[in-house]
Amino acid sequence: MREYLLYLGCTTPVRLPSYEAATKAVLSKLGIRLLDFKDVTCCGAQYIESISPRAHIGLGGRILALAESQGKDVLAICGACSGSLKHSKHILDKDKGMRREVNSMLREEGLKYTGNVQVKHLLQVLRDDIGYEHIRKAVTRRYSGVRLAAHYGCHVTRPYDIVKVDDPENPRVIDEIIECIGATAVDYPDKTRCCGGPLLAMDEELAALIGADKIKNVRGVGAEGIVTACVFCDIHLSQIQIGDDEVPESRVPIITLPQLMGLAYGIDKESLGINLNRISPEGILGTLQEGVGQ
Amino acid sequence: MSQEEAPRIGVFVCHCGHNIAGVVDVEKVAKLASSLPHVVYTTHEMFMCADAGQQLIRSMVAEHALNRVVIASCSPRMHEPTFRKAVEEAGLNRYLFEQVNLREHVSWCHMREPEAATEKAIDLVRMSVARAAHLESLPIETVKVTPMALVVGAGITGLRAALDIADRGFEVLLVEKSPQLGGHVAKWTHLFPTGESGAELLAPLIRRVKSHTRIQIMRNSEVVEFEGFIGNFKATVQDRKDGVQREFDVGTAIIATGFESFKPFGYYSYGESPDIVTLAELQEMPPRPELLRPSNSQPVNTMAFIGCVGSREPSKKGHEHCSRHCCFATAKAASDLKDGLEEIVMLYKSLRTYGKHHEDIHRLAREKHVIYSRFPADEIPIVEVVDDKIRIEWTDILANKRLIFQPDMLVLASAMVAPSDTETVAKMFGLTRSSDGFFSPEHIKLAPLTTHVAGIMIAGTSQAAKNAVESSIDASGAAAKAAVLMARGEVEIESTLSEVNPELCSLCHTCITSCPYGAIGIDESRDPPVACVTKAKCHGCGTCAAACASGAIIMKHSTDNQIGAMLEAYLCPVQETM
Amino acid sequence: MIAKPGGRKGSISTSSDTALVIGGGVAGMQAALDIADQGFKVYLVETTPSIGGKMAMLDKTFPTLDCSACILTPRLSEVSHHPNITILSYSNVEKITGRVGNFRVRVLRRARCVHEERCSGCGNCIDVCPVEVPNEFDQMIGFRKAIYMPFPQATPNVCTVDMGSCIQCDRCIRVCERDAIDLNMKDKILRLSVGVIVVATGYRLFDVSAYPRLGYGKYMNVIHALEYERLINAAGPTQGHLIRLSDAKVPQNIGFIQCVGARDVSKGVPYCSRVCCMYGIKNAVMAKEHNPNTEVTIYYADIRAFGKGYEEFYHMAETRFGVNFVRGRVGRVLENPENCNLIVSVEDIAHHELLEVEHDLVVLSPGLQPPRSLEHIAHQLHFEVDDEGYVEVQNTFLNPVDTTIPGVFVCGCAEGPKDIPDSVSTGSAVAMRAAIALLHGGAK
Repeated sequence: MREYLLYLGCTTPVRLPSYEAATKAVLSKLGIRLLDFKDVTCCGAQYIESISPRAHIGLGGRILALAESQGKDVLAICGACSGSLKHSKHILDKDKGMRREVNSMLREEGLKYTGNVQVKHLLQVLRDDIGYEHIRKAVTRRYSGVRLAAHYGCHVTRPYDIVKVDDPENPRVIDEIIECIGATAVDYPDKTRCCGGPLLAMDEELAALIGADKIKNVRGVGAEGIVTACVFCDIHLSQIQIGDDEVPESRVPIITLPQLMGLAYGIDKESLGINLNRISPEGILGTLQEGVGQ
Repeated sequence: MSQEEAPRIGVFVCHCGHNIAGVVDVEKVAKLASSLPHVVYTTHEMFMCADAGQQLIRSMVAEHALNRVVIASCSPRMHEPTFRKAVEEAGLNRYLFEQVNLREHVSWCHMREPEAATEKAIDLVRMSVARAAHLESLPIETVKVTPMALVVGAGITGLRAALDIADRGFEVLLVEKSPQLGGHVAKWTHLFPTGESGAELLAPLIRRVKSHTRIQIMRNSEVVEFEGFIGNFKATVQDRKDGVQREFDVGTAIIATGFESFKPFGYYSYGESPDIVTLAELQEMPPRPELLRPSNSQPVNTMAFIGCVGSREPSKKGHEHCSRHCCFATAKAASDLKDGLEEIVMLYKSLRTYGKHHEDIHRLAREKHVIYSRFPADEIPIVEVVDDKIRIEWTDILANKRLIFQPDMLVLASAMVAPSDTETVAKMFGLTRSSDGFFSPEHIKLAPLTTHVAGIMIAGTSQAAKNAVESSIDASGAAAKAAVLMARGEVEIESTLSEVNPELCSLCHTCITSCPYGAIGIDESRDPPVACVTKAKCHGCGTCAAACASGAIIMKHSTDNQIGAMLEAYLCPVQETM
Repeated sequence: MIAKPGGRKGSISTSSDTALVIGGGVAGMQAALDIADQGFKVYLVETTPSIGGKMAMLDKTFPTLDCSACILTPRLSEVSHHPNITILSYSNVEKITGRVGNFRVRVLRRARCVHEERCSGCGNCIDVCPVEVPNEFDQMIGFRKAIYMPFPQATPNVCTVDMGSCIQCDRCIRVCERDAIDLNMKDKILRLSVGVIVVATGYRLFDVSAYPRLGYGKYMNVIHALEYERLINAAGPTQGHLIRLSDAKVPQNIGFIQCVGARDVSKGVPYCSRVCCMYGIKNAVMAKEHNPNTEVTIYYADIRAFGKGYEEFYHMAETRFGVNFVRGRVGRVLENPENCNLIVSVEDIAHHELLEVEHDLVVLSPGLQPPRSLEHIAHQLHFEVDDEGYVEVQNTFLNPVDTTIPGVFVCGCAEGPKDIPDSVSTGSAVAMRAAIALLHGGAK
């Protein structure tokens, strides 16, 4: 059975525990064992990265070395984390000087990075380790064609040379999985655009504007929900819809991919943390049909 | 085809796709043509020049026993040879064919007036049908082609062309104005992309040219007279030192007189400092391990280039064109020099690194931190020389800032222009010039190396601004054109010449003096003597016929009857039934 | 002794005063004519049913706005009537061995199922054929029948049967007065012996769907330049009426996007494609000619108007025709779902503004790439090609049309992207070099 050290990052446990829960539930069902990754720190994405690139690589290097010491690969479910760790790995693999420096820091803990560890994002594991066929076969309840829009975010697919997950201009993994489980994946303008989240620290108004654009585009094609594979994106796209002016009925539900999949596999709502979704995806759930296997 | 037979005219009206039919009602024209005198067959067709159209001519001539063919289509400049050939293949003399221009003369210039255009088309067809009835067959004449080519200019173009023609088996007379062979390229001290010097690069070529048994080289020499016609030219070459003239009979000529590098006085303070040079001057600087300032022979640390100097200036005659070679040449120069210099700034209006490996060198220059700065077309840099220092001020578009730079040396990529004696050369060989000042090719797209003078080719920078590689290609191409003529050994000449009717000639000499080609002489063998035309020199221009007070000269294929019929058809049309 | 086309299988021709020209576009035709005019024999092999190449698809050509068919068709005619040239169309070069003076070439003459010597090109068969399929010549916009002629002036002027689409109903056979159709025709092998070979295989267009952000393939009103050529061509699928593919409306505001598949390191095409600036401007001018009230904008990186008359044409486009030029490489194209208009996002570098411009038609100008067939020929002849797949010449200055293999020459776009005048020049240049090689049995 394929095993991964599950790297949660900082945000998921605190602000989107349902993502963690759903990931664990779904991957276990599909035959992947997830191990607790102890003693890890923040990966340094964005915040440390922008202040000290060396500290950023150091943090990433340590996490990778920890995984190496256990002889296991890393699964990062947050888009920003996966991008950050892959970036760190990319630098450490290429830059001998940097690697020497980081390893000298790690010596204190008896750790060493030699490059013998892979970092995967959830989408890669789903497509490559499990495969669409298996994903489709495991379905016990199919969505009856409910129209869903996939949101990939920035760090999952870009820059392609480093992350190597999917075609950055025309990503398909989430869309394929949506189709596998019986829903209809819809295209919408600016599908590959940022959610706006990273700008929150600097310009909240602009961040909200960018997110609102995405919601508008999704609504414009008649999609009934947005499916995410990144913590930041999920939180931000939900958050901006919760305001005084927003009419609750017009909100577009945001649901993480493992939650969406879990429901189709017959996993109960509580285990998937559905009740924690800030905008209720009841509309999507309602389209599930019992006993319609593949 | 005898004149006694009644004319049986076939009229073929061409749609030319959308070009004619989009404006002119070609069906109406064809229909009307069928009611004209002597017309026994009319049709309209999509593309007369295509195989199907030509097939149609052949079949209809046979089927309807046509003895005159009128094709209403594009300009004779386009397809006269094509249609003549089709008509001949159908068994008729080519001069029994008449082409009416419904495209350049009607549809293209009256695009927004379809009704008036159709009326004009009908008039023109009526006129040509009337003329066709009076057309006569004329004999086809051929002349031999002297198997020797004259190549004017021994730069890379002339050298390459001469060698190709000689290798092909024909004699070559290579005439070069200067004492040296190799033109501009031989003066360049380093070359792109191979890094050799121009002289090194051309050495094998020059060696072969010098030792080739079929190439006769005349250095320090100029062509001072050139006359004759295709296959039979006579060139008079004069030695510039001792003035001795020699005559040569040649069959073809390739004009490879090259370009001149514009000296941009009045631009960017050129001339006010020895450290402001043109790209050509930089390319000709003696090679040294270090680049030295011309003013004080100190090493150059900082340098600037400015592009498009004297090029791309609308409404400035002779300077409107792009000089093509400079963007790449400056990129290569900058890339080569940057290793030894602190700073190189490239100021450009447009970046035209279009060719093979051009973008690679451009990228290499940037990787070496050559600074490329784009300035607006309507606000060019200001260069001043203050206290022997060069000061450049300009607006960089990307930064949207005013920048100042004081380089040790400034290189101006100045224009490639036609040499100052181009007008003389043009007149001598009967060539025309384009607005860029260089010679005009026969057709800018499909015949870039031949000219309107049959037997004379142009190649290299005499044809347009271009780089040395492109010139070399032109050279072989022009050589091929010359080789074709000389390999054939003979060519047909036009039979549309003038002829003197000795019965009417009064020997007033008017025609002799009015002929621009000196083609009319006196036939002393007759008593009384009369004027007579040397067919081979006659261009069929008609000046003599118009000048002759006695009406003694007829223009073959443009006789008074033929022209008169056209006028009559236009001015007094017979009532036509539709 | 020259083998006749369609002769007995394996018929031999031995002649070292014969040249093989691979590719029947404008460069190949020029080479063939200039070699044949010197008295040598030429085999002109062309993979499509007709010679003429890409030029036959074009409407007007820069910088003179000559009608492409008008200047090309006399050439087609000249080539087909030349006593020294044998056209082998609908054929492929399969194998080449030997050396200069004696190359042995195996040519596959694909079965067009029509006897070339009997067919008159009357087109009766085409009229009765019940099968309609998308027409490659029209860039899949228009249709053709299963038995077809790619364009009216196709040379040889005979029909070809696309057996993949043919339903063998035999209607064409019944209506053919010359008994020219044979649906059981088989491919044939022709073996040639030639002294020199000219590579004139032309180019293929960059596949612009490699830029999903520009919307080609997603949005109906984003088309590429060759599709545009067919739309404005009088002999094209809309008889020359420029209309939008989504609703057949005449576009009022057109955007041309340059450098799509050129000067892009990340897409493996770092070089400049040399002709797109000029054809883009030509297309823009044509739009204005079709309808002077149309707003036309060209989004460009640099305008490479370097050739004779090109800069003047560019200037005329801007001043006389009123084409707008915006310097900026377009970031992305989105669609307005209400009217299928396109919204182009670009930075106008000269004015330091970010623009979102609505156009009702967007035309992408694709770059040029070597055709796939070139790889096979390179493999057969072992000449050097560069990183991008184009033929390398022996010496750029002294032998710019000689390949690295003696007796093998290159002209036209097989050596690198180039326009018609340059293709024609290289065609003539190659003829000179080929003639010398034929005479001396080796390169000089």
